[in-house]
Amino acid sequence: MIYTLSKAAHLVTLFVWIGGMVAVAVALRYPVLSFLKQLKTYDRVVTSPAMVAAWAFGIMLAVQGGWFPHSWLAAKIFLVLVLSGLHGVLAGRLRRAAAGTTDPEESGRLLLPIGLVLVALIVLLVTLKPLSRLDARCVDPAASNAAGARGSGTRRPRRGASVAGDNYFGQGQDAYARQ
Amino acid sequence: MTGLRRAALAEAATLLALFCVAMPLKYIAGASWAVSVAGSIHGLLFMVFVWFVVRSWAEGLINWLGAFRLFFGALVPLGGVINERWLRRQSAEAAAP
Repeated sequence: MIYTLSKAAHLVTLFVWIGGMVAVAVALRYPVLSFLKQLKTYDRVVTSPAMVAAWAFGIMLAVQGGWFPHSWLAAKIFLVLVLSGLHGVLAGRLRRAAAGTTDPEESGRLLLPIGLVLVALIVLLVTLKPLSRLDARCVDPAASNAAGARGSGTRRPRRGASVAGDNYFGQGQDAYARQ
Repeated sequence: MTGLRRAALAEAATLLALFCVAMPLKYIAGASWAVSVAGSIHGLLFMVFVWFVVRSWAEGLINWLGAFRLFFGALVPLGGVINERWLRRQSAEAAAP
């Protein structure tokens, strides 16, 4: 139940964060000073806290589901860090633009498409888990056989979650739903 | 700059708590949960701090060199406090006529 609630909270905060980033990117492309000032407040009060909350709920999900040893999560964390950096750049440019000191040439046309591609890659990683087979091959067969009798492999997630294809945002049930 | 300074202080405080409270608790009292909790909180605040560094760099408040200084300063205990004092000086210099 806690896992499911964490997942819902992670998704909600993620939507708010990405929505805020898109708004900032579009507003910087077509700047209107009064709107930029309001958006700066919105970014400080809503978007940035949503980003931190999305991180926190994501960490909670990974800890509860035992996903940290998986390569797809490592790749996802890297992309999330890049996305967070992109948000930092957007927020910084927004604050400069709201103060009226932006160079008109610095509209950052590529920031929005880069952000959307990053989001698409993150969603693909979470849903397809393309590196799970690689993780399964990394399991030492002897250790796997020994642990298999006890019902857990060396790189398997805890609490009943399996290596490939299910849980988190993929197919199947949540790790906690089975219990 | 205020947000960056607060983030630097918070990051420094949680790193000190991790080293001075959580790790002794783990290795002396056997409370391994202390490191998990303090480590998670410090990790989150470190990410927040790095985000503030990126934002301040994009805003033009600090340059590349300053951003590197803040990042590497945050990796050592008490480095965050030195970072905060440096940022306070930078703010004062920027505010001075």
